[in-house]
Amino acid sequence: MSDRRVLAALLLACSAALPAQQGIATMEARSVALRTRADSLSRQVKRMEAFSRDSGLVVDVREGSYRLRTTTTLAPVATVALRRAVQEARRVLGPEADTLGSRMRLALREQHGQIGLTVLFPGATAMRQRISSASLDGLFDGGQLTGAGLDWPLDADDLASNLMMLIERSAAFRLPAPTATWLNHRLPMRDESPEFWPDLYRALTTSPVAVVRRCVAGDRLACRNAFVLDTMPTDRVAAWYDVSDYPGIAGTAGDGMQRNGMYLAMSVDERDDCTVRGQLDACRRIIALLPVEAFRIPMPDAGRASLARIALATGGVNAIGRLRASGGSTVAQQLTAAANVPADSVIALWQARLIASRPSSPLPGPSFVLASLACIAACIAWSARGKPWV
Amino acid sequence: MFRAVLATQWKWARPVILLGVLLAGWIPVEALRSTAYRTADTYYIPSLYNSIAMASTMYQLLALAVALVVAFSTWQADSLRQHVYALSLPIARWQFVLMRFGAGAVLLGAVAVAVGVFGGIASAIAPLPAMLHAYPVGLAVRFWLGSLIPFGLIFALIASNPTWIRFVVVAFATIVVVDLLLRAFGFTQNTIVMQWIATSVFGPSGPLAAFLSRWMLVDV
Repeated sequence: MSDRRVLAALLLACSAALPAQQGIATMEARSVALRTRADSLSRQVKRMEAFSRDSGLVVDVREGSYRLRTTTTLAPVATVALRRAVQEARRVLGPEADTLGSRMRLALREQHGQIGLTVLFPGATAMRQRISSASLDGLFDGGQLTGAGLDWPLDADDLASNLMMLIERSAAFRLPAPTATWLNHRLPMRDESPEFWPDLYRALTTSPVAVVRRCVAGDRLACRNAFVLDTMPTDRVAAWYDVSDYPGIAGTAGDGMQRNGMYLAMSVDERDDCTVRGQLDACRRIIALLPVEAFRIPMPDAGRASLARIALATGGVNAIGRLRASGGSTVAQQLTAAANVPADSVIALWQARLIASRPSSPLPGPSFVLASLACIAACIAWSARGKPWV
Repeated sequence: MFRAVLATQWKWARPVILLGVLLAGWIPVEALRSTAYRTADTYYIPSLYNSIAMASTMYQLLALAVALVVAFSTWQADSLRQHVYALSLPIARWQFVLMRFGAGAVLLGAVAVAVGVFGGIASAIAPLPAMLHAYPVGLAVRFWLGSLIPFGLIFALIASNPTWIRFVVVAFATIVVVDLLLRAFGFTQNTIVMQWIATSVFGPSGPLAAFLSRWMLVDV
């Protein structure tokens, strides 16, 4: 075949492919246009939804620099709750609380639901829409803060506690890196409930992690290890767990993704050898197949928050400032800066508080005995007056 | 006379009391033996604690069941004979009621003692971890007081005037129906009377509050 013929054949092939290519280009252009329109519509829907959602937010409840937009129905409770939350924030943060407030935007919305026999009579006019719950959310420097759903009727204490939660999240924005992560990006400021310490004692005493149990038993080094105040240990399993903990952690450590490799490598029977039959060799195999990240800080969030709270309380009014300014690279160094005393002293205070909160014997308390006896006496008196033969 | 009353009530309630005693022995053994497996000479503590918490519910159900059966059996014979025997006795009505109640309390006490004794033996034999402690006496006292309350309520209801019982039942049913209808038609957000009753009965100072707390044989 001569060169001229080859060239002619190539031209013929290209000319056949050209309309197809043009078609693809047109389709792509249309697709882009459609996608742009769909995006624009989606944005419009979101704007309309936001407008509709916020149309009832006509009241601005203010307390210092804090502003909470809400509806006329919710405003009275919101006023009381915001005042309480801001007072609490000022108690812990001092003047900084108001600086924080000026950067926050809070919204409390009504959530409506139909109540009544709507299933039987969906169109009935008697089935009016009523407030079924409320939702609280907020922005800090334009960034969304995870909010909360609140039960109806709204309780001022509950709302104040949730407002404090948002303030705690905002206050954690400027914390130094190790402590911010260690505290799950929340600076603990709220007062604990009376049941907090006894509940924490019970949870830690029955913890599946040996190092936590040793910490409650009074071992300070174990506490330091359980809180991971310094650096993460190289061998987390050896540092934190006893052999007797293996069946438990082998069954629960890690999330679905982290356990995936282990699921693929071991059959259900092999896994049951550990988790059901308690064979330690099988447990060791499971643990070896889990990634190191599957073994998280042994001390639960509530325990860490309580330690931080004690450090801040020990450090006094400027504790948070020192915590923020701390150049320390570990949590221990940063807590030491906040508390103005060594981290071991903070742990000692925490341990003393925890051990002092051991729940009392489960013998019924005097109020329970008195209430029971009163009820029994009333029953006997009622029976003695009865005339069952009438 | 109290001994005679106690002896007759024991005769009527014997099967359930004996069954209660047997169960009182079985519950702690099962709780400390089966679910909480042992490895390397140490209990897996969370598993043991869950097992004890489950046993707590079983104790509560046992207390409730024994109390109800003993309360019904206390008045059953008298009800069948129109209370002629009670009326023919040469003692005041209140004295007879007190004796009947006392006999019931003693029988429930027998099961409570079994709960304490068997719980104590089981926890003494089981090698409990250092951080956990057994409270058989506390559990037995809680069991006895907890069972006396439903016993007293049923006892009082059966010993009442039948007209009163009918009135109470009809009034309660009417209130519940009205409450449900008000909620169903959207006039109220929640059932008001039923919630009030639940709070009063199961609230912190309510007569059945004991059944909302855990009856732990072994605790921290």
